[in-house]
Amino acid sequence: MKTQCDEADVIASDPAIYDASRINVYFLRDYAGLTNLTPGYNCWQQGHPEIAFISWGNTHLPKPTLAHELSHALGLVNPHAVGGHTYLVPGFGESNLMATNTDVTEITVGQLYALNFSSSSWLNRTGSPFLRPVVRSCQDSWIAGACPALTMLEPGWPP
Amino acid sequence: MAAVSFARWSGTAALLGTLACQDAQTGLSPSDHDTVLRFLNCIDCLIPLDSLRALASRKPDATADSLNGALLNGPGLRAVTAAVSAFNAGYGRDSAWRLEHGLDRLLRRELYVAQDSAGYIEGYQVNGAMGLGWIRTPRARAYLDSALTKPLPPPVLRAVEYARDSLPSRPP
Repeated sequence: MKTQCDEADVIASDPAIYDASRINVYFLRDYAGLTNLTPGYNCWQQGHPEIAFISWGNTHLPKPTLAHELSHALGLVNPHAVGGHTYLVPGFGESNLMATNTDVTEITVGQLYALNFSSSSWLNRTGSPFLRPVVRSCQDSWIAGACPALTMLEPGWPP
Repeated sequence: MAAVSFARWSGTAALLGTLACQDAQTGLSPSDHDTVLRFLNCIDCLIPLDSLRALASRKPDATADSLNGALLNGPGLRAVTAAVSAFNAGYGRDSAWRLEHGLDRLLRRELYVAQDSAGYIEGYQVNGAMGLGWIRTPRARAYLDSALTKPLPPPVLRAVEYARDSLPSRPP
């Protein structure tokens, strides 16, 4: 049984448990077999952002955890130093999709742009059927570069 | 079940209000304090855990003091107020979506919010315990021993016991 991202290469080579054409999310009691180690985890640091885990036995598994891990798969990993997590980052709300462990009330326009148009997004991977007219190598930073700043926020939107 | 959830929420809510300014006394800088908070509020916890352990190698006692405060007292009143606000917003959003798609209704709003709030507070306290378990200093161990004598919620006490007795020597 594979229970952690260090085994992502092994998981990705086993067609019995892995579909290369999809985002693969594994629900298990405890990530790495350790109680309360983490509610969720995405394997982008191991080169497999299309693999994620959800620990259903965790004492506190916030409702948005799956959406949060899928967002990593869709390219929200910049800046790499913090894995795209926005908690305590100026310019983001406490209930941002990449900050919260409560419930989500905010995603920025900059984050939505990256989800759709970043070359790191699963939508734009090699072989993706979701062909996009625009694919950008988004900057490893909060501020604007090839892509809009991740902090770019349109008040009241999305509704 | 609903009554139990509400009772859990009432019990944990009683713990609030004592954490304000706590880290001003522990010797952590604002940046260090953020490192601890990132771990206590983590979703993907391994990166914040690395940072927490690095902090503990520089400031073991102050880090343990801060985690112990989180374990015993939970998040501050401001954080819980923000969380309750997010849960209320989530309730409105999820209720509307379920109605629109012909699904069963959610629990009553107050129970839904109480259940999620209790989970949030206990999760924060559990992370305090797990942090103490991972940093493994004598002071951290003493805090875990002491916590087992306190009237903490059962999931938190189970986490304290696990953090004290069952963690491997290092995280994966």
